[in-house]
Amino acid sequence: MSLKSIETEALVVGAGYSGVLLSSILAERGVDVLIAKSSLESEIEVFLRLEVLSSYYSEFIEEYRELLAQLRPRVLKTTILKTERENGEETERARWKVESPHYRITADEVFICTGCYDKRVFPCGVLGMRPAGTFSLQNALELISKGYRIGRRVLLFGERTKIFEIVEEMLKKLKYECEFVEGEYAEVLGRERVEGVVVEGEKFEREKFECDTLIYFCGRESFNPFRLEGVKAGNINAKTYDYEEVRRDVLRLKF
Amino acid sequence: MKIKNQIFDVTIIGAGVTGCFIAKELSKYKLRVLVVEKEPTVAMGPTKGCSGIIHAFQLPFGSLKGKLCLEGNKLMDEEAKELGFRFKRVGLLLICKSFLSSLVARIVKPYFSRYLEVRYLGEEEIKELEPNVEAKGGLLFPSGGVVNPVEMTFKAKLFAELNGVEFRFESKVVGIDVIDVVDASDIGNIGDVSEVGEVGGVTDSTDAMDTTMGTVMDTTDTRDTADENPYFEVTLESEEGEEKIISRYVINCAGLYADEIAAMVGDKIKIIPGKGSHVVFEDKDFSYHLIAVLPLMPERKTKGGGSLVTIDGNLIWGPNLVDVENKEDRSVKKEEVDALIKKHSKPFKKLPEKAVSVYAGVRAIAGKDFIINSPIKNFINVAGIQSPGLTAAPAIARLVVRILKESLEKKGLRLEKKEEKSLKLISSREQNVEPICHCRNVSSDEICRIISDGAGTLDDVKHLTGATMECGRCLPAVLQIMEEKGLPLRKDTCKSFIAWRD
Ligand SMILES: Cc1cc2nc3c(=O)[nH]c(=O)nc-3n(C[C@H](O)[C@H](O)[C@H](O)COP(=O)(O)OP(=O)(O)OC[C@H]3O[C@@H](n4cnc5c(N)ncnc54)[C@H](O)[C@@H]3O)c2cc1C
Repeated sequence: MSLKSIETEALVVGAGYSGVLLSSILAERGVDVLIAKSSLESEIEVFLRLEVLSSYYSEFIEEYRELLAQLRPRVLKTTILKTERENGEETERARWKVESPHYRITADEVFICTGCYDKRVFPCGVLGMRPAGTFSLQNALELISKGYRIGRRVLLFGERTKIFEIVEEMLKKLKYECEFVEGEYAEVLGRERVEGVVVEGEKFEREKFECDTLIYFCGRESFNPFRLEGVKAGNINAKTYDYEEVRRDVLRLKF
Repeated sequence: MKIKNQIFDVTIIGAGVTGCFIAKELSKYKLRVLVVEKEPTVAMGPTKGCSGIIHAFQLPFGSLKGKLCLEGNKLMDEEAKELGFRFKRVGLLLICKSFLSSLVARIVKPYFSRYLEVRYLGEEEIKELEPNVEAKGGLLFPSGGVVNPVEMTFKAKLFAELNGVEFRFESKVVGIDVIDVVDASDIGNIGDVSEVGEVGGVTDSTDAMDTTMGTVMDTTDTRDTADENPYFEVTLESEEGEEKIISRYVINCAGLYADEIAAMVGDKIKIIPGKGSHVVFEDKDFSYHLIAVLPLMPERKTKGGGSLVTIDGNLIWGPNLVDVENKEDRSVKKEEVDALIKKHSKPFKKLPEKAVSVYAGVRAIAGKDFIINSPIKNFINVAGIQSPGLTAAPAIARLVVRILKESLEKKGLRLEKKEEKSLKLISSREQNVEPICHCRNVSSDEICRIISDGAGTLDDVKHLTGATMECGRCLPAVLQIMEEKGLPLRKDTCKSFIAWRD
């Protein structure tokens, strides 16, 4: 299969909120911009399908939909695997050579808007058994948004952040039994399925919580597994589900 | 009568690495072989929880496990090629922190040289191989390697299946009865085992094992006469209820539960569970060898663990040895993690950046050595296969074939090779496919393919493709593919669902 060659002034990697916002700013300024959208769904697309979250993030969702509709002709459905300066040069002037499974793209500038992912079990202090029913917040939300049930009685574990309050409300509306606990360590019990979680933290030494599902969250990290180079923009730097911060981060960029 | 389809020459209990390699080896002969496994898929016991090391050696060299380890290690290139699993000889590096221990290393080197390749390395040479390691000297065993244990087992199963071995998952052996069948024709023809003399006698030439493993077969088998014709009636329990099959031979590869299986035929084995935990780091290129510090500080029965690498290049520290009461206790405790990090950070100048995950496996320990014997006629124990069972698996399989051959010969029967089919090996990653797992660059096509090859649970998909292994973000997408392919959304041994639709 032959690869298609494309040239553009700006390539924005990632079609989440930050990628779309950034692309629209660039397009408005007359920059020839392309957005690469991978097969992974953006977070906003997930929120869109979740009642409580979509109303909480409605402002950003509206904006995202509108901008994406305008930008549609500029969206390239492909996953960027590699970005490097032409001829391996480090200079600011050198153009970028970009690879994806279907395209070879040459760009004057590359912006990385690949978002975040939730920290994994171990950094979140989740130890013990790993039976079915243990989810990162992000995965729990995506699964629920796709119409799955992920359990009956959910324990939310981690740092108290705004997102947990919203999720708690959402889960209750969806008829889950739900409880939040703040702690440093969680030891998961059960073999077939989560049968309970023993939590350790400042507030209590060891306390057992009954549940069949654990959702953990203790912050996020930038999602850039291909270690793409370019200008890092948007929530690749942010550490929470705070879209105000994402917006500020994008607007702060100077071109 | 339905029973006609339920008669096997050999029934293997347990689809861990041992059971699957025996099945693979037996699939080359004209035999009707059945593998019975209580879990939904292969390698769900200790095989999955192990460290993935193809050990260079196992002490003492004279023990059964010591010999089988060396032989298994030697066979691994051939196996990896035949079955198409990834295998890298990264080398084992035993380092010395002090001048004194480097002296000891030089003294013991000739002893090791009698059995395998080993080189003494000085301070500078080590620095060159492992820039992050600080050592006064060390021993390098180039034959030490790494595999993905699930991949290795799965491929052996695929080969066996392709060559006619039947697998029954989610079927637990709950009883074994010895039945005397006066005439084999009572229950139909037993496989294609032909009479000796019928076909010109080609038998395996005696190899090294012959002389060293005379103790393997119990003497009971020598009392075997052609008239006595014992068969086993094996009771399987599954969701559909109980079912009985008949088998001429039974091989007990039930891992942690080999004691229960042995007890069914009146044999006494005691299996003690010993948990081993690991910490997995995101760091790649942190170090390149399997590294341990000399003198080795074995925690009683283990080799003491080390700083290891996976076949994908990630750093792993472990395993330890913790006594557990429950054979299924794979929980990792915080204290263990702290201790592992403290212990294994010693050889290094700088520490790894990010621990991302922990996991444990439970060893099936039955005394000091493997137990490979035949307590009653036509029943073979392959029990107490603790470390280095993964390494030894190909050698264990060959040994079992030999035992079987000998036993058949005593009955005037011989094992006959058949034309074997080889696995279609997928040479390399396809180009031009969009990944859904960005960390390991796995496409949905690849996931679909592994599912049609027989992956049965999320853990299969995860271990065989690498998807969801690192950042975990593609989990929902992977579950969706599984659902579309009609797989129940289950995790390893769990009968319980991860997610479901109302
Ligand atoms: C922490 C740890 C680290 C290790 N590291 C290494 C290493 O680096 N290198 C190495 O060479 N070795 C290593 N080992 C050892 C290695 O993992 C084992 O020797 C090997 O996996 C044993 O395989 P097995 O097939 O004999 O047993 P298992 O993997 O236990 O398989 C037995 C199977 O039998 C099934 N079964 C049990 N009872 C029944 C029943 N009644 N009916 C049906 N099915 C049944 C079980 O479900 C299971 O799948 C390690 C082990 C541990 C625990």
